[in-house]
Amino acid sequence: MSEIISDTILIENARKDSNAYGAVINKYAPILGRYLYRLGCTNIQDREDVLQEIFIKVYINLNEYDTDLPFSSWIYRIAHNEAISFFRKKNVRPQTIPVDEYEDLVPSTENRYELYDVQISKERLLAGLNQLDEKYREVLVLQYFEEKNYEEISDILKKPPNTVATLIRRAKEKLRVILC
Amino acid sequence: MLDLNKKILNTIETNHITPKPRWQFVLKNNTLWILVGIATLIGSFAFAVILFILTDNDWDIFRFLDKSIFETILIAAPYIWIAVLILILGITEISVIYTKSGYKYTKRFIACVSIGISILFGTGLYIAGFGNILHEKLIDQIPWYENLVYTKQNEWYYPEKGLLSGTITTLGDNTFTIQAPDKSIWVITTDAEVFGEEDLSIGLPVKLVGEQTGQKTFEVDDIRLWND
Repeated sequence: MSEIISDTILIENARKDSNAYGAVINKYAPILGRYLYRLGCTNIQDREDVLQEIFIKVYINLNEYDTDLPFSSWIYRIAHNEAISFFRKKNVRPQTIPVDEYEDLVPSTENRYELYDVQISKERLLAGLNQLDEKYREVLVLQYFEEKNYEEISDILKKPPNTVATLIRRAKEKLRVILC
Repeated sequence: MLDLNKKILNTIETNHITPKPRWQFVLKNNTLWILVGIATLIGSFAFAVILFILTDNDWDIFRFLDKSIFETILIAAPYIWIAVLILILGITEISVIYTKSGYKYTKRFIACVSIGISILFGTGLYIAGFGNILHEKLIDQIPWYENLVYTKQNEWYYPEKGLLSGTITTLGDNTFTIQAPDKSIWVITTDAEVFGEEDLSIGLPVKLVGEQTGQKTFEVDDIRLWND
């Protein structure tokens, strides 16, 4: 609740004064940077460009946001859409995530266990994820890396919760086949 | 991150970027819901007309036209209105999905709700007589509409097969004349029992089942009022 309130205050301030928008950028740029990386935007320059696009878009659409959904879901949605359009614009597939880089970008041991049912190394998990289709990779990234629940993933991807549940189930099955 | 922060704020300032006013988002969302409402209303009227066409057809007379049930359904199905319903369904689905919270519903759910509402309101409109009114108005005012739907007029003008319709122009003892849809005048004969079945009067539109006995003469076995 406190996060919702603080986000609400941040947004209210940013609506009144563009300089106050800096606080929103400070809070969400590292989070969204990691998310973009996990989606496969691994080049630092590309990532900064996409982040800039995201925050400009968020600023332009600031009045669209209301408290029907958490601000983090709303900003993740814009980030997700910008990442997809970046990959399309550049006509590239999301890059594979290098195993050695960013140790903290893989899910916690607990989440890794839940994802695969048996303990698995970070390296094998990342290698498996890199082989998944984009639509499966993105739901697993959101659930196990970003630790979002079904409702939040539904809000971010703008898909019905049932569809999200189906996508996650299929993604886990496909990952299991890849890792076996 | 500080650099990025500065860069973004600088871009906002130098390009004079401002947040879009809230009313634009409210307007977009409300317009979509209004579109959904209009689409549902049209869908309900479409269903009311479909019900009217289906119940208004005299399905029992197709045996006179040597048609099987399958052929009958193929001929008499109100294709144009079914197409309208499908189109409305598509418009509703797209509109709902693009509303602010529409993504929470599956396409199947939206389709079921849209069809359900159209059936519910459509049945109400049919019972209130709006299916009939709309159908008749369209026949009167849009010349090509009649070519798109199969109407009673189509089925009731096959005198050589024992089906005739028209408006009574004169009345006599066990005989009367009618003006058929092609403006031709027919002399109708019958016996007293059949003649007395309905309360006939000049100007009354009727449907007749019987046999053609001459070029413009017809012996009737069953007299039905047009709207029955």
